[in-house]
Amino acid sequence: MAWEWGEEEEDNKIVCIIFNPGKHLMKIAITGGKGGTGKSTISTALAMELSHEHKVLLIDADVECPDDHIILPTTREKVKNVHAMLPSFNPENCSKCGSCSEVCRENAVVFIKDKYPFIISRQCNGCGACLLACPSSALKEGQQVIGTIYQGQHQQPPGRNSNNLLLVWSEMDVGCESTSLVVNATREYAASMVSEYDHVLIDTAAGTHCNVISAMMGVDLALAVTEPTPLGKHDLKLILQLLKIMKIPTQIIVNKSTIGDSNLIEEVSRDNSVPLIQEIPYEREILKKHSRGQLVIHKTIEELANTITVKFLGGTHK
Amino acid sequence: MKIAIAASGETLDSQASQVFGRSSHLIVVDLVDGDLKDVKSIPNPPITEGGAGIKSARFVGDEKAEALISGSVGPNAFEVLKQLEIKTYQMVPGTVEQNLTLLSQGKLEELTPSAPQGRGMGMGGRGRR
Amino acid sequence: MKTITILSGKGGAGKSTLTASLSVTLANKNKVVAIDCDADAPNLALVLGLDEENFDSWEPLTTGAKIQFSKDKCKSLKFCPNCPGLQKCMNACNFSAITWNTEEDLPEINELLCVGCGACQLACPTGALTLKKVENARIGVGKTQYGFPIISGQLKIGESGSGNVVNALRMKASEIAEDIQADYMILDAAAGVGCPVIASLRGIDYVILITEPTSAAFWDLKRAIELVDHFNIPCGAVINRWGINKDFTYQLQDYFQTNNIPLLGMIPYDTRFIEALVNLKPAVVYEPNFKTIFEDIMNNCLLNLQEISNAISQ
Repeated sequence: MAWEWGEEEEDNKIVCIIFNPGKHLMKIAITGGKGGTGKSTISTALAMELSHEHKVLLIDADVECPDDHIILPTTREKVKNVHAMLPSFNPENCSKCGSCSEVCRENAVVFIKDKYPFIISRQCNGCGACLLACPSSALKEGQQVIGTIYQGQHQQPPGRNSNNLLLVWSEMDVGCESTSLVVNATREYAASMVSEYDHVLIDTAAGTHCNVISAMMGVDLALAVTEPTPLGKHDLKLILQLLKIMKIPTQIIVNKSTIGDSNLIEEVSRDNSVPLIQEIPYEREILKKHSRGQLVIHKTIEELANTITVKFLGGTHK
Repeated sequence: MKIAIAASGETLDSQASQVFGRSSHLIVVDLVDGDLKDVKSIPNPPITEGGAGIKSARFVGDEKAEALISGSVGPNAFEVLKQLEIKTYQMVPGTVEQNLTLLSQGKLEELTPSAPQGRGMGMGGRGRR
Repeated sequence: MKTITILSGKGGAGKSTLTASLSVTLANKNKVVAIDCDADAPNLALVLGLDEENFDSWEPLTTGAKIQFSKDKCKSLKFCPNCPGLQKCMNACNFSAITWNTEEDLPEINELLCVGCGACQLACPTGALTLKKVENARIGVGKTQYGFPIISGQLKIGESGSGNVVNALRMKASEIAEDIQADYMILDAAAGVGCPVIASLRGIDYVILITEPTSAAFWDLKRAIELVDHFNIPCGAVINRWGINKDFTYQLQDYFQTNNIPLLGMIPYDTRFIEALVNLKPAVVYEPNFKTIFEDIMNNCLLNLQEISNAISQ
């Protein structure tokens, strides 16, 4: 295994996970940087495949545009709202000094001279700086709803265990800018149930900023999904950079492998010493299923599930 | 009555601005019996953080204006103006002076957050839900 | 000048493809400026055939801030080893960016999670934490071979503030648009509906929604429309890859009609679009037969814009 993420200690840690798999629940992130490479298609298909033999928890960490619940037929159950801290203001104690407004880096606290300050809730990120700056305790911790967490059991055919696949997802309120807070809350909720499951898959959003960083904090393995085009290559290099900074062992999956030029990705794989674990072809059948929002069942997904099981989860060949 | 207007320059001859938060200037005048007095121009420097509309609304509040003329006003800026009880009016393409005159004649439409800011006719207007 | 943002919600729906070909089509008779508002994984320059080296200049951006910790000033060290430190900084952080190292009795800052709000700085009684501006991105201006400039940015991997980078990109683009007296500014939004997308919508004149006839894209589109409504921006729609599911295409057409969103055009599913991307050429340049598709979209968009202008002037 040729990952060169850093000092010996890190390498040893990686080796440990692979060779002592039964002792460690594996959190696997499916990411990619570029939008539309097939993260959700692959996440749901892989979760489904793994759930034949194991109990799987799939977290859709794309809280802005979650798609997994469209593809995976599940029940839809509202779990709870996600809250962010929103200061609540008590004019009685206020000395109209304006300190709250001065420290607010989001321009969420509006202070006009000689008037009481007020807060624009959509602009507030809940950092609490204003509470700390207020000399007269005129601000207290309140809250605002910024999203909702849902979960659903996968509807298995009769005879199959319905508890084998649980999907947890969230919808951030449109207009909010607190993506990572919603991602964190979703992961925290999922973490409370993790002991009941054998594997955890995390389907991240597109991109490389806090939306994806929060989704991948503390995962054991990342599957970077790309496509064999110059755009795919460009964005793959960026996500690999992020995964290196986060010290997350990574494998590459090339989706739509039969279009474009696979050399582009093989080059990146070699240059970064990140193994290419699976190729999934661009087939009309897969496209059709994707367009209908149907789960993809394909031999390459079976292969992928098998490879992951054998290489990382201590399982045996099917 | 003190009126503020989002502008693309610093004089009454400047074009009224289509945007509020990132307009280059805010011009404040005292409208007295149809006359424009005490013309004041406030530069509105661009910022990379969000909340440009909120900042601009604060300037308008600081000047104690009672009304604002602008093109599009974002939802956050709107909230500030509402809290400060400042009425907002839809600008028309033209100079600052032209818009102020139209306002004094009561010919500008009030902007409310849900009011469509120009909807296509023929190809389909907007009236959803 | 009119500003138009191309939006979809769903990643991979064809925003960059549409932005590139629409900009080329507009640039035949108008002055255009294009902005890639995806600062995470910017693709528009590539679609237009530009490499990093083709950009005139790259400027560093310092729109972000991170907290810096000064060990000498931290009071917790002065306590006897049996007492815990005050931990005020950790308690003040609402983004889980500060954890406590119990061995050394010191705060540990996770730079990846720090958003630079400064709350911990305010909470710290000894001034051991200070906010420092950090270079978190770079932006550049490139000249395409199609007669218009493109402004693109790249967030430094691991840094935060992609929304602010988009704001900085727009400021730069406005300067250039002013210089060349541009008629149109086209913004290629990022995927999703979060802060970089919101930054691409503030103060915009018109939104072109691009979607494809798939369940996932449709669901995401509805979220994107919610956001457009939140900002009260007029919009039109384009259906991409319409051949992959004809029934769904009709469904989409009905949806747009019912919701009074003008359908500006439809782009067929055609492997030549993929070939164009692989060859780093805008689709309309790679395959001249595509000209009418994008001219139609352009004309319908301009017509809608004109109707909206007329409505305001009345």
